[in-house]
Amino acid sequence: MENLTGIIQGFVTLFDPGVFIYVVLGFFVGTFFGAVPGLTATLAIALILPMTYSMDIVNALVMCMGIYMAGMYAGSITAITINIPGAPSAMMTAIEGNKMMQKGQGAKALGQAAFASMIGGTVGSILLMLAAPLAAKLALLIRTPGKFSLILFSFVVVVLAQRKTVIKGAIATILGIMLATIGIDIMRAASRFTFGIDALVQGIDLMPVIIGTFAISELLIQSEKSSSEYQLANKDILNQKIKRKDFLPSIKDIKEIGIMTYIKGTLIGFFVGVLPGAGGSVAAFISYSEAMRSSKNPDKFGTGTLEGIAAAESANNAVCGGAMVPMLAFGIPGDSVAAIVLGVLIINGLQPGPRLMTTQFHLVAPMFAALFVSALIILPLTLYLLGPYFIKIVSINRKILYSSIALVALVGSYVSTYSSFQMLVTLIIGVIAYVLRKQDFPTVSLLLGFILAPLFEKYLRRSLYISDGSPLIFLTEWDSIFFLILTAVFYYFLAIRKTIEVKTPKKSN
Amino acid sequence: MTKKKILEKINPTTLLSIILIIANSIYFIEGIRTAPLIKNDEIGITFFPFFVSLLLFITAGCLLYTGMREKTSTSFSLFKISRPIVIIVTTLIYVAIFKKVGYFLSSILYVFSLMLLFDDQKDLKNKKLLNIIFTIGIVLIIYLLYQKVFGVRLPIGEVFL
Repeated sequence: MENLTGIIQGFVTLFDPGVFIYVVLGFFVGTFFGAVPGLTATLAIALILPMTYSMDIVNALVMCMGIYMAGMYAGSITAITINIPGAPSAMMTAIEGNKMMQKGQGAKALGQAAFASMIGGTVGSILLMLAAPLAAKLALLIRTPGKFSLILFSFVVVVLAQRKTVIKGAIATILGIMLATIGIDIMRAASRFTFGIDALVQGIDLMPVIIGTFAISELLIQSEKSSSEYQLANKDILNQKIKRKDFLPSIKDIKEIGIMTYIKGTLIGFFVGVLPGAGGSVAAFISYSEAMRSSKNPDKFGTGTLEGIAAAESANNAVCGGAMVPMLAFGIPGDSVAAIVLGVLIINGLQPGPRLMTTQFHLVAPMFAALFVSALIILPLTLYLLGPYFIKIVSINRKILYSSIALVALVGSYVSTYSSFQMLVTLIIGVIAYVLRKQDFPTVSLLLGFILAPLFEKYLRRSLYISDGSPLIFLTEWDSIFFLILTAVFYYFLAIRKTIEVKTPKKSN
Repeated sequence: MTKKKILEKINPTTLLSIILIIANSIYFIEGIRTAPLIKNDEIGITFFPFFVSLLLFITAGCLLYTGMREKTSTSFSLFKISRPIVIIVTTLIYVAIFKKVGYFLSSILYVFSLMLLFDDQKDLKNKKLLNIIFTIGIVLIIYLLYQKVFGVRLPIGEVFL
């Protein structure tokens, strides 16, 4: 009841015109970043992060939610029209959507993507409202050794979620942890790994890590492409004509797809979102595979089917709600956007966790409301009113786009401490992230490693202090045992069983 | 062997894992030099980093093994990495002069350089004026956004004080 009142209050706060304008603004920014290939919602929030210093925290959070929801959907526009997913989460949508576009059924595909995104986003945010307070109550029961094992579980899932690049995922996570150990020790007033550089005593700020990882590395990646490559893609974009009615799905199509596809997609998306490091692209992939497995016409998948689009889009938008649950309840982000939203909270002096959910629920509730309203009202309304023009907007001149991104990123990293040293750190981390991305290292693992490392170390050292240095404490406390078993279960399903499944067909051959 | 052929022989995975092992060795030695792992029966400040570093040695070793087993080496494309390198150097110069010459002058030079770098078309001469207009526009908009909307002070330049 208390939470329900809090959530209603959250909606009241959100509908204050001074707050609501930020959701709408965030939604437009998210749509733009989600639709332009190469740009993502993660990058948009990373660039906005420095501005949140001087913004009201509620405004900053609701704006992030608008960006998140819009960014997840908008990737499907270019995925369907020109077969270039605006965001990685739209990869599966491109497979089916663009085939439909080629058959002259692009309007149907766009309409279905919009509808499925709306369903996934709305139901995902309702599930968030139900699950987050419960998760926060459970989080209060976890003691120090359990917290250590929970973060260990997160690290294992983050690494294993990389599927083909587990070693690379592990290295990226470890590099993130190492970066976090630079500076003053978390429990004693002593510095470490400063290499004689005074400016490193304060440690590396979260801001340069986020901006370097997502903005500077993207700038360097994009600079590799020639203008002619970019213009060729733009030519395709400008040749597409989209009408307002294209974004309206027909009842007949919805019936044909079946309500279960939307429900399954949403649930898969939500629960994948809860897992650390998985994100929208994994959710879309799993949901798409499940839809194909249970479909009456699995052979139609890959040739342009609405069922595949519905499964992928409902799942990737439901991730938005799911990813917020562990971030708010345990301080463990579910994906890269949640990790940066966590940064917004930390930068503004708030510590995510059960206490935030109980004592400062009035700050969190508008976030829930913003996700819900973004999916249910702003998404369809924006698409209906402005949808036909989005495709023109994404064809923006790239020299203006990337020069602006570079300037916002570097000036943004300066304003966090008014020090040009932070700008230098941003550049160095950007270069590291660029090299890692070139070699298929998941940079989101680096960020999660950096964010979670201080807590991981603190809980480890406190636990060992409590037990007089005995690591057996992790095997005697019930909460710790629970998370260690959970880690083993995930390890079995994501690593061992997968390996057996891969090897079996080879033997039979 | 020509430089190009040497570069083609380098396997990026192997090269990266060697760099990681070298960097990790520096980190490891710095940790050992800083403080003991356990002091007076208490966990020291380098206890946790010590194990993290060990883990990186193991994983980077695995990566090195994978890299050495790869039959086809992905060759570097000098053309592709030349522009990122120029951007890195340009950004480095921007960072170095940002506080000295102030936001406006440094940003105008930086944005204009990026405009030229991202614009590899033949009719560049005709676009000079357009690039200057865009540059001033971008710098001004971002100034207004930070300084006026968010109330952030941007440097006016130490040399002008």
